[in-house]
Amino acid sequence: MMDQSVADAGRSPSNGWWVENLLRPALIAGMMACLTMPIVFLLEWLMTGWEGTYLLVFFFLASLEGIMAERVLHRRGISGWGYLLSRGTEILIILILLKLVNYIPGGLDQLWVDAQLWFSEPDLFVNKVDLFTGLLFVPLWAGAIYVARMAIELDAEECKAVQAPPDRTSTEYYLWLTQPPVIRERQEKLDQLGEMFVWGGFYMLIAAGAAHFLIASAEALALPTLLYFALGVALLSQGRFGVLHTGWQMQDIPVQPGIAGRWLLWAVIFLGGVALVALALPTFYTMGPIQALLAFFALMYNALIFIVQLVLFLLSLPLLLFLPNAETPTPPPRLEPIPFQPSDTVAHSALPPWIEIVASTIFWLIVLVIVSYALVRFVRDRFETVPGEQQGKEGWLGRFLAWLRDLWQRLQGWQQDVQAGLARRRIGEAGQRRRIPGILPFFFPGRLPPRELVRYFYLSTARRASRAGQPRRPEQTPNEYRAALDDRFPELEPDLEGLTEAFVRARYSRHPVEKQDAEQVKSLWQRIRSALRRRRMEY
Amino acid sequence: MSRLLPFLAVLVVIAFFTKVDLFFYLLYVLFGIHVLGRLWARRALATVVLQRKHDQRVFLGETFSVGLEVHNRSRLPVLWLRLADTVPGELAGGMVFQQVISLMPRERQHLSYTLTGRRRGYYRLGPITGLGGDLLGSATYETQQAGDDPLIVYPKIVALHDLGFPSQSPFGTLASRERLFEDPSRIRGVRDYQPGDSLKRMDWKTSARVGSLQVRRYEPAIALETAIFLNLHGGDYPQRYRHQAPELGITIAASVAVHLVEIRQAVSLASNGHDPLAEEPNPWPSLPLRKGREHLMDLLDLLARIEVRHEEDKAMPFLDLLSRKSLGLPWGSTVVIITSREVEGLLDSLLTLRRRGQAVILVTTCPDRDFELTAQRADQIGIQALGAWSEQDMDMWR
Repeated sequence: MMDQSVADAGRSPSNGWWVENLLRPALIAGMMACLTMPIVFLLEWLMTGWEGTYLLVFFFLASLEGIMAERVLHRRGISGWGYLLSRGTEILIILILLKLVNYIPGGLDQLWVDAQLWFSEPDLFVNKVDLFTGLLFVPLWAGAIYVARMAIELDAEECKAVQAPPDRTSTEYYLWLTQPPVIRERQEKLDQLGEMFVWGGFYMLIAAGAAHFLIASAEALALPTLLYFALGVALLSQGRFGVLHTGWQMQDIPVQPGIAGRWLLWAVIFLGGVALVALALPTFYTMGPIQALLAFFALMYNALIFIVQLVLFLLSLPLLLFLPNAETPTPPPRLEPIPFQPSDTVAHSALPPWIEIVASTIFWLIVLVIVSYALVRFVRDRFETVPGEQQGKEGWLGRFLAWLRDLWQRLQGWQQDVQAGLARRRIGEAGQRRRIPGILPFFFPGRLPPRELVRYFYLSTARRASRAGQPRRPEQTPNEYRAALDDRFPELEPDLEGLTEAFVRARYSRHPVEKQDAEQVKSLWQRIRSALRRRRMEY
Repeated sequence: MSRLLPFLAVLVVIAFFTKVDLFFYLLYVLFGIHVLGRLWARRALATVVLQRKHDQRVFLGETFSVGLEVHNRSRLPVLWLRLADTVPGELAGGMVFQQVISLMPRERQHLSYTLTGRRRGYYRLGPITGLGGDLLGSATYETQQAGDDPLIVYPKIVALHDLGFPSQSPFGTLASRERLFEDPSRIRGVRDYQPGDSLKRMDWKTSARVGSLQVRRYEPAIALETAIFLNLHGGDYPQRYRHQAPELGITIAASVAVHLVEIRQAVSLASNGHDPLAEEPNPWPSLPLRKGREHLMDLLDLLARIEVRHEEDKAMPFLDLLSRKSLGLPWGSTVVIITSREVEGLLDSLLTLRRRGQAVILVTTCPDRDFELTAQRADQIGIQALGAWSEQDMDMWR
């Protein structure tokens, strides 16, 4: 049906070779080097006189090598013992290289002196610096390889559509039907990558904050922190493109040639533009929000009065020509800013007062925008109806009240659970000492007993499905609710079936629920959770 | 990136707690990337204009090109745009047009795909759905444009050469053997005057030249003014032929209409089928007796749109249609009845038409074992009955 030229365009590689083989590995290696920086900084602080910059370069190059090797091993299909052997040899060589690199601050003379001792006293081969740097390097190197593996799985060229087996009654067809869709898997990988990026960001923030309190200067880690986020955003952007491109390939949608290049170009321009605009924004305040606002209005008022007086003065000047005996008008007074009381916690800066007023006002406006946006998103995510959901007659207030009601019911449910647990514990039901579901399991569901864990997964799914537009009605049985969910999310049918069966078994039968059962249900829950989250985001 | 907002919340706390410029700067950058990225994607997509260009009318079996023009009117680029056009299955044949493109600021792209008019009908193309998103995949946006774009696939038209339809309508353009229908504007020659000849027929110039009285001889001519009545009452068609026979009837009607218009005759059409574009006050599709290509296009449009009316209660019985719509027909015109098979009362109605001075032809499209009997009865009342049960049967008019 489509023009041949267009169809051919779809088969052309849209993600450049260099993006997958050079750019992404460099981004990952760069992020890893940035993550190393706080520890190197700490070592420098502990070991006075030791300079660790060389270590960053080494970590970057070694991570890059590890990622490249991962791509080669993956392409050649080497796995299992072959993979471990290859990696073991590699890490051994890299650690020896690290040992040699550690002599960069000391020089070759130091290496020569130490080398002479290694034969007589082999235990001196590994010194404290080697131990520290080695222990630091190995997890980071493994982390780089792990992230690289995730990035490989996002590559578009790895995606191969598997045709459905012709025999629809065969086991192969069932396996094909129930396999997780490739696009979904990749999106999950990208989500994981995003979460890892955020956790790495937390780590960098904590490190920078600690540096601020330890040596009263967070600027020492400013560059690696900013670089980490820049590289991370670039990597996620590329990952997003990879996932999209995979989806297009899977659906056999023709893609315009050169779209990868355009994506990269606009990503760089956009990120650079945002970074530049952010540079121009004030990152300080010298007065509180109300004070800044009042001072700003006062400043505006003064400026307005000055302009009016100036205009009147200029208009009155020509009258002097006709009325020589008239009194000469007085020029407008100089614009004086309103005196203000700077915050006690902030040192006076050398900036003119009006700049401080404007800067403080802009600063608080930005904070207001950020907080408002976060609030709006929070409210929208929780109270806004999605298409397909029963359109209630109530407005925002009604939905807010419904949310509060739901929250209250959940709190009551937890309270009843706790009371029931306490009661069971008292009578020692079934001779088992059951753990009281306190507040801790709420934050760490993994600590719940397997039976409770399965219930948790089911209830969590019901809550998320409700947000995605398919709430569970009180009169619905689990199987009826599953049927409703199947209709709405047909792609989740096998997962929902497994989860519902496990829940019914855990909730209504006396069969023991083992930890392995809960683990299996967890994988189903994770897939459902990701799909529901995406469905919500699509709305 | 669902954890970005919680992360930003923590960042706000850390920034205010430490009052370090780095954290505020980071906050601005990450917030800017998140919010401006979404705004960019939404704004850029909102300004994209999608237009479709194609022929409004195509013939059955014709393959035609549909052009899509995508215009980014804003100064912002569109990072990615997944286009999908909604096309009826009868035209697309199972394929769906989809394409992923990227648009630079103010860029205009022209895309195209081909469709085939596989089945007669009135179709609506569209809407075109455009899906776009931001850099990090935190949001996707959709636009739908160019919906309800009409397209008509004409019914199959068989080239006919000799219909052989009888007519008693005088003053036409078709030659006739009946002297009754002599056309005074078509002079065939002169002959000697005979007593009783009208003075109006005298050719005075020739008489003066020859020296004896001469009168003009006129060419006999008829007008084949034809009214086509098409029965599309679902209940009149046996279940087995409910699709094939009405389609054949429409083909016959279209072919006859085309042939008649080509020989510059007037044609009308009336049916009890369903016209999707018909307005409520006049739900029974019909076109008056007219000539010309413009009228032919209206006829073919109607025959392309028209469908069998399945709702038994709303369908007008064919005999009612016949009695209502035949009232205004001029004397001597030809009436072509296209229906499934003879039903009770049909021949009576046709006899009424015959008595009114119309020449009637009955065409049945459903195979019928009793057709011979029907043909005999029709012949007895001066009506020609034809069985056209397949396209090959139309050879009688070729």
